Amino acid sequence: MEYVLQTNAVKKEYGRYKALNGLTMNVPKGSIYGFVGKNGSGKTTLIRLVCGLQRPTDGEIEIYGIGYKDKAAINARRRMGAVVETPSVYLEMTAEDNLKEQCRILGIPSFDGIADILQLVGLGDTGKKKAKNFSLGMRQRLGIAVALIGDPDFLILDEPINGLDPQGIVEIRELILELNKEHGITVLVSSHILDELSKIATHFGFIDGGKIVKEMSATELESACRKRVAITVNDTKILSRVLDESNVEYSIKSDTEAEIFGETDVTELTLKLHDNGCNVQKIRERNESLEAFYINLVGGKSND
Amino acid sequence: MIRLLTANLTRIKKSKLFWSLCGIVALFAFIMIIYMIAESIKIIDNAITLFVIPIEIAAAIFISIFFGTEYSDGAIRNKLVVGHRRHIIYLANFITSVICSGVFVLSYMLPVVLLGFSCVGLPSTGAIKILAVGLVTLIAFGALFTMVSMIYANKAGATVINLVLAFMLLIVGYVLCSYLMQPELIPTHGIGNELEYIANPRYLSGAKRTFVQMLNDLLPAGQAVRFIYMGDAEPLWSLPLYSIGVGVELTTIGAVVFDKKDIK
Repeated sequence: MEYVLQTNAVKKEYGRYKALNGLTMNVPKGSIYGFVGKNGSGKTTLIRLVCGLQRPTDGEIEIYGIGYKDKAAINARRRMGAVVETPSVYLEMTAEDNLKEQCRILGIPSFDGIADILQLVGLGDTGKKKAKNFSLGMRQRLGIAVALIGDPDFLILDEPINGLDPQGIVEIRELILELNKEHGITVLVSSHILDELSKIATHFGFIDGGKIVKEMSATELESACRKRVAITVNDTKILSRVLDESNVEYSIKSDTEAEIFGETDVTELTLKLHDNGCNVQKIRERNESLEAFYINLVGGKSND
Repeated sequence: MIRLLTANLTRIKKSKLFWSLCGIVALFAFIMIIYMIAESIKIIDNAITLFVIPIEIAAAIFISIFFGTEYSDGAIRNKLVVGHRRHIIYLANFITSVICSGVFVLSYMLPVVLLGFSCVGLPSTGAIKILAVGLVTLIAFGALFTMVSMIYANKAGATVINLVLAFMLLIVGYVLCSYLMQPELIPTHGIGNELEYIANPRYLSGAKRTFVQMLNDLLPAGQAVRFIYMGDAEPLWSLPLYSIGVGVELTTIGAVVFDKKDIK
């Protein structure tokens, strides 16, 4: 598999505080990589390092296979765009002037593509309105537009839906999908809003305490958050024996409670348990949410 | 470098603050010329020897706010993300600040040349020498203000620091100049040609005088005050060397610190 971004045992320390503690991640080319973690887990720190805003204390960062210390990294960076935390736009300028300014920074002599980019992010009709008068969602889209100057094939978006209203969230989601599907841009999106990421991401990286605790594809995550049946019986030892005989995957929660994964024939199971002298007291179907999966992963407390 | 300079200069061209400061500097010079005309002063040199001070203050304000906006709006990240090297960003900003000071000088000189030369008088050779030396002094000021603005990411904070520095250095320059201008002998008593002189206890001599003279010449503000009070007294031509030395040193320090700086 070809990777746009790879990090190996990256550390970042601020004095005694370890913001990143040996983080290793791999962002496949063409993916929408959902970078999931709670506040303070190190998402933005890693993005700052990848963008060259800060330098790692230790470890290796490769963009398109080129290490960050390599002189060629400058050229690799020209192929990426980023919106880190807040959109990086001049508030006193119009949307068009902001994009022209970025063209100058990149040394692009022509402003021909600007109208198309503004149209793409839905800011084609902002005219002379200055960025300071834009809504948060519009600023976010302008930030993405600025990042798209230079035709990057890797886009990094740090918490792009933070503070947006539902309409704004939908717009950003659709924009990310369009950039990925129609323009072939690999997108790294960080967020702590799991449900939103699950709607767009093709790959996930879960970060906690400055480390990636799990990397998986959306398909793998889907199967991890699969259906299961929660069952309460008078004796889980008998239940365990019956399930083992049936070759069913399960998890014992207590002396009386267990979870059975996958599709279960409830009638057949109940009859088997009855035959073995085990009473079924309660049975219900459950789906593990992405949120619960993440909480289990990082060892926090769920509200379930 | 050229790309960054082009981007900076385009922003400056559209900056209301920049053109307002140009206007204020020109107005300052204009009022001074009008005063000279009203008072029938026939020597324009004072209007020229003073030019470093208003431009220094205008530069302190503009450079702080202009580069501070890059941090406050987050736009400096756009330069770094696309791979511009930090020392190149720093140098481009330093050159930008020098160009700004140059435009401020032109704004200041516009009323001096157009109105002053015809209505007050032509400048002396000494004043023209000071103008040339003062331009290099402004480069040292530009290096100082750029360094503060690039190291300290807070726009308001950097503006306050630069303004405080601008005024404090002027005060230090004034104090140093006042020591250097002390006469060696002072009269005690007597009338007319019968005056008796004694050694001035406040007159600096020997190593002390050399040190204070060097400190004053090293400080850009010391030079600015010196232009007003001591005119083109020697050693005038060593001052640009001091200014270039200070400018190079401050730019090197600023670039090294900026290179290591964690940007949010």
